[in-house]
Amino acid sequence: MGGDKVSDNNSMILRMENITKIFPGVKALDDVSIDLYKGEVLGILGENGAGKSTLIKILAGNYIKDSGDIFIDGEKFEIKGPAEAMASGIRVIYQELNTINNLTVAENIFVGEQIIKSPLKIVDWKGMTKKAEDLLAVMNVKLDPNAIIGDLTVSEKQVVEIAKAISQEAKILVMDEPTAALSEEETQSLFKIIRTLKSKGVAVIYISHRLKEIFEITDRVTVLRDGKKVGTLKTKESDSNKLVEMMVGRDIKDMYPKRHVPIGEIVMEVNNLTAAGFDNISFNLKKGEILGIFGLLGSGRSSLVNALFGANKIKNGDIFINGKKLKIKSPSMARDARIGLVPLDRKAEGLALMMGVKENITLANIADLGKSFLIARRQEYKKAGKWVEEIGIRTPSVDQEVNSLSGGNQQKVVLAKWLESGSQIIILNEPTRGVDVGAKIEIYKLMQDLCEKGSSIIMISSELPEILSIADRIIVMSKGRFTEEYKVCDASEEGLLRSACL
Amino acid sequence: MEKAVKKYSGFLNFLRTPTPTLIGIYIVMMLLFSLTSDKFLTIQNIKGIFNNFAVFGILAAGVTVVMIGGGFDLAIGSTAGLAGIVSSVLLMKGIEIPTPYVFIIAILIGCLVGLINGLIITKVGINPIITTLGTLAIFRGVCYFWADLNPRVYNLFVQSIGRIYLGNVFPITTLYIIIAFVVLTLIFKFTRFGRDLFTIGGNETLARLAGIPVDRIKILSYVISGFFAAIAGLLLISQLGSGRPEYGNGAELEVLTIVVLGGVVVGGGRGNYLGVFIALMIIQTITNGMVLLDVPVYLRMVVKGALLVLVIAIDAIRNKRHLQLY
Amino acid sequence: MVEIKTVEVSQKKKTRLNNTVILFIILVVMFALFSYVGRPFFFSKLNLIPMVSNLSFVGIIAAVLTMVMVSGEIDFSIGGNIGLTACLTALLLERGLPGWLVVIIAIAGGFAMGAFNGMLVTVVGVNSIIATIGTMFIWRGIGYTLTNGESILALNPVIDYIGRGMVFQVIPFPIILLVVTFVITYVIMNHSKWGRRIYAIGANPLASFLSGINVKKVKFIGFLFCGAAAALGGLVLTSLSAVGMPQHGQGQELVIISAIILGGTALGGGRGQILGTLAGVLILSVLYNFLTIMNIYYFYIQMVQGSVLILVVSTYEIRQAVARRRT
Repeated sequence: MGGDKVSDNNSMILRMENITKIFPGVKALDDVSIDLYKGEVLGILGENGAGKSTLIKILAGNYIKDSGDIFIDGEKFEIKGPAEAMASGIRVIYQELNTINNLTVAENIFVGEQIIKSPLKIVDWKGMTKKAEDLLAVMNVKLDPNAIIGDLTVSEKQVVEIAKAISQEAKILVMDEPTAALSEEETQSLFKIIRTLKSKGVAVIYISHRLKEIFEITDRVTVLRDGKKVGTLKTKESDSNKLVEMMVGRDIKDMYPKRHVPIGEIVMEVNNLTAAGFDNISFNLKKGEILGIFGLLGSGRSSLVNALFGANKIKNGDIFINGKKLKIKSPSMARDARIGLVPLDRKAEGLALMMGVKENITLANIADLGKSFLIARRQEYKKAGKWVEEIGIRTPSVDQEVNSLSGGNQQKVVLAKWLESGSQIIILNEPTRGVDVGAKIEIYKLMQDLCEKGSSIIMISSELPEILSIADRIIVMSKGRFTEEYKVCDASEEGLLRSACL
Repeated sequence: MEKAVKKYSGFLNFLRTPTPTLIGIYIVMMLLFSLTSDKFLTIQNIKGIFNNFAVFGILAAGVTVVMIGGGFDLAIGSTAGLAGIVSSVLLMKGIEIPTPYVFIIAILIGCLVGLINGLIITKVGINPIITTLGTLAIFRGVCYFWADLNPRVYNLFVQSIGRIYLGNVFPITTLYIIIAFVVLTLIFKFTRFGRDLFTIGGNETLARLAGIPVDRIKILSYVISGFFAAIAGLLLISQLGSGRPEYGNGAELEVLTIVVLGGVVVGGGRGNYLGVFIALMIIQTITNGMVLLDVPVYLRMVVKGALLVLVIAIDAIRNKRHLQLY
Repeated sequence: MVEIKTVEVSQKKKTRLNNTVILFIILVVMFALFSYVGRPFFFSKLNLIPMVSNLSFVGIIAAVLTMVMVSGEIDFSIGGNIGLTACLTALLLERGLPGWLVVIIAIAGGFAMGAFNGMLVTVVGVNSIIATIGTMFIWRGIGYTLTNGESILALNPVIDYIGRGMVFQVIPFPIILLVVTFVITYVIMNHSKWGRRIYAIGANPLASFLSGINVKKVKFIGFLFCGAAAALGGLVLTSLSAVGMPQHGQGQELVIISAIILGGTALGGGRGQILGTLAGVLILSVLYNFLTIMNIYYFYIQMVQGSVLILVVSTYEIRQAVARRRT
């Protein structure tokens, strides 16, 4: 159906033409054009860092494009801010949760656009509650509109986000990984809603890196790679091999270079660990191994690794490192136990952006910069220079502010910090998020270099092809609990997703 | 979703705010004071308590608006002083501008100060505490332009607005506070401005993303605060019978204590006027109690500073900021 | 692309260097102008020595507060600390305690006040602006209570020397204190491991914490020494005026914080230079000294102080916004 409409020019609702956006150190979007027709679902597909999020943030008025044009209903339209984008009927569900925790469900759904009763122009609470109830019923979820958002679970919050986006008459609905926190059932109700909206003529942009969903719901797919558009296909006329090839731009084996590394004895053992966000988790990690942790948003995977690193207070359970029981109470204790953490959000948690490359590389080991209380500058330059060279951080100098480096190079700086620290167990939380394809491959290679040298790695990833290709073993979490463990040879996308919803 | 739907209501949500605890504290305090001092429960004393908190109550009305939106206003004391001294000068013999005009001018001054604060905070992007500390000093300085005139207020109407007792017991100023608090509560609950203000206090970035005109609403909140500061200034000259440049000095501390004790969260997004009202009574009862117990004037200053620190420490603990790891 | 960036970086370094240089040029021009307008009194020994001694006490506190501010916190209680220290000093001298002991007690009191602030901010988790505005009133209130609001003579050879002593008959002793403080803080901030931690915490406290830096400890120690520096400042001021009174240091927090921000320290932390702070202190001290000797009413000077604070922060914020737009 969607395919037929491509020829019908009259119903083109949106055209983004030659959009370019440059961030310090990286061209996030390079001359990308997309078009969107009434009543179709356009999938946008791309690896982490391909530019999907940037594109929709421009459409939502969240970023201002550097060049290019946007046409809505055939008319040129300058989007200067979120309010204008919303006024022209664009609704966005972001990847990050955007609920306001001190307000109720109903208020969150109508945030910024409360229902107003004339003639006094007062907020119509009854009407809002009623309409919120209806929306939630359509979504097939049982939630009290008067509940305070802060009390809800991540997946419930996600549902509220979706209800918010469909609460107003939208012309264009953009969904950035809307199912990241949803169970299979919830995903199916979402698809039902999308189909209903479609029949009403709403155009939907659907972003996901789960191929299964793309095939199930979209009419056409636009593939992005490294900020460039690779092409647009009718979904029916494509298959997953073709799409993956377009996304990756090379053979899948080159994308995920997996080497055989001999796996040694157990280096870390976690027994019945409990802390805020997860319950009673046990697993072990062996020398030279890459252990994958998979789970939906809100499954407790980040809380778990934070607890291993001393950044989430452990309530119960034991951690053994090389057979010795260890109470990790702070990141400095984790560091001293030779554990390193490459966190989820490197800008907020991993780097001091306004400082230089060398300061960031030595950040975890300031005490080792010289014998006295003074910093031995020459030693610091040497240490930083060594890592820049060894893992190939592309920077004009070690004095360069990390702010101006590309995502991939920033990630390498974070990694270099833990290499400098001599970490034997490195925890990586979504290591390739916002990183371009070239740097991704380098990061995979680096991870395996480390394993060859005898380190062990714990990797959280929600990108299925990545975790299935790079990890040796995968444990799956759901709602803060352990659900299943897979050897990578036994694991499949379907299997992981099923276990993640248990 | 296997679990049953949890039911919530406005009332249940209210029970989870600090206000019920405050009511409890106040009742206990009343009992304690009336048991220890027989002067405490006299009509004379209670009249005094209520009339004394007029200025703080009116100021708290405005500051609450600002703080719900995540802001701060420390300039209220000098704004009140400025509105007060200008009004009293305008009422002086020889100038004698008609009273309604004086009121309008005073309120315009208050709103203008609020507008200036709001513009600096939103458009230049300076931290609101620093901004209003600066304007606090500036407008206090402006007050001293008229210091030598030493204007006394002979206007009977102006004298009466802050001094009348309804039925000879109930101070009219308390009525003003109740009206202001009720009206603002309704504005909070039933206007877009009110709801958007709570949204901004909850998460300013997201409010912007939702297309809410954040800057305009924040500026308006400072204008409202300035408006109430001007009214407080008028009450000051009414109750004290003259215009002095130092009027309202230090009021910001007291008001900040009251508002935070009342459960308005530092950083915004949460708070209600019932809580602020009870906090107002608690603080005034303590002040009054110190007078009755003959606590030295200077020691009261220490107690007030300690109360502020205590109250914000409670706010930090209540909002689990003490659990922050770094 | 890479090459273009290197050029940009070197330019950035140049402008940053220029900022402090520009401040010193402004200082020289201002000084010359005031010497002319305020002649003959401004540029006379009678004015210069008190001015320099006065700016010493401001500078000592500013240098240490710069470290707190670079770590992303602030301390408004310094003014109250000065007042309480002055009262304490005078009262202890009145009791006949030896000068050296009084100095030790006063500094210890400063540490205690700093520790209290530090606890509030790091352990309880209170926003440092409000916490220290509260303690400012507590300290000053205690000062008033102890002295009953009166001024008390503080005459003692040791105390006299701190503010009015002359080293080799020419250099006022406070200048020595100032120079020593600045040298120490300069070395800490620019060359030591501790200073590196302070900058890192200011730049990103969460990333610093997740790199194993004990953020709370670094911040706490900052407050601790800020309290001690304010007490030392209080001693200098007591000595200069020969009395201890609770009003001492009133409003100084505005001057000191303005000077630090004028010197290039960011309010949110992460950026700041000790030499910049020195320039800021010199400029503002010379300005306020000039206003005072021109017989400008105290409250108008306060007005100028408030305006300077807003102006200085505005300039900084606007520059940041312009820089952000460029990227």
